Amino acid sequence: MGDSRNDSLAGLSNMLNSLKEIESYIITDMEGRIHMASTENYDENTINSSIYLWVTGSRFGGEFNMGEPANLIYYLKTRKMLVQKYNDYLIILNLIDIAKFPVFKRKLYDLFNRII
Amino acid sequence: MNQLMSNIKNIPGVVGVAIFKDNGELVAYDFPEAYDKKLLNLMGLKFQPIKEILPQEEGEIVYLCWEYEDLLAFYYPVGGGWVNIISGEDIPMPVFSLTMTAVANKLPKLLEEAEAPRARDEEPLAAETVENAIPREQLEELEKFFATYLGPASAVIFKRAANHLGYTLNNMPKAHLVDLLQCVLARVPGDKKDEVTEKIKEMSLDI
Repeated sequence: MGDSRNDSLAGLSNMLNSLKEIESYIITDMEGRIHMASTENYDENTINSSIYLWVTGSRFGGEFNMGEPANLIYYLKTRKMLVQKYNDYLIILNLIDIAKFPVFKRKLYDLFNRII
Repeated sequence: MNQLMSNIKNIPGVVGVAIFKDNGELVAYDFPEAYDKKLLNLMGLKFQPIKEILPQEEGEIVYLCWEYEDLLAFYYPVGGGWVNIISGEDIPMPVFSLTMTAVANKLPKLLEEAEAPRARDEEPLAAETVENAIPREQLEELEKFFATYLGPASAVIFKRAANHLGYTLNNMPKAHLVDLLQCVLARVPGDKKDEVTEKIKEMSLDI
């Protein structure tokens, strides 16, 4: 099981590396354990706030009968981020400034469909 | 206020708009009947801690948008409060951005003057929740206890655990104390876990 998880993460990592809109990424679980990151220069606060916002969105979706979120656009004045659920992981994607969310999401989902 | 809400509501695809003050108070809304006021107050409660949670170095939020199966939920902060919007997936983003920029310019002044549209006998939901929150003294006692095993990071770990459960240490409900302790216990080194569990039981806290 451990190996298949590692294979799955390696596949995911290769896929993310192929997208030019991604500046850096962190793959974490809901407890904040980091499973993979494209940089060692990640910020704990980013991970914590992303998880907090994800939990908030999930609860909100439950209470408003909208279900689970598929992703979260986390748009700050200084950077663009997309938080994407993938199996038991949260992928926190730090995007380049010129990335367009709708275009990027389409590309990402196309790649997800290929590796599923 | 009504004019601004109407401007947002007129963006194609928008289902509902709710405007809140920073303290979580609902000041105006325009939602279909299925979304009653209690539900919208709950919305305020869910989103209120966001400004507190996000660290300064994260920079200012332009907006947050959760994508659900058929709908989008936006959180758009403004000075003194925020706006929640639920819309369809086909919302035209350039129109949304332009409208919200105008709203962000005008809303802070209106929020200062606004009063909540609340019935006289209605209890504020936020107050009720804070009343049911774990007392600060109890949390400090627990942080101090865990510091023996976790070191000075104990307070940070408590804060993080609360965030992971979708709360802050100020509004963490008493009913979730066990969940909070379990999250913190997970960070205690393996050989000390049994000892900590026993000591917590001695405090009449069952985990």
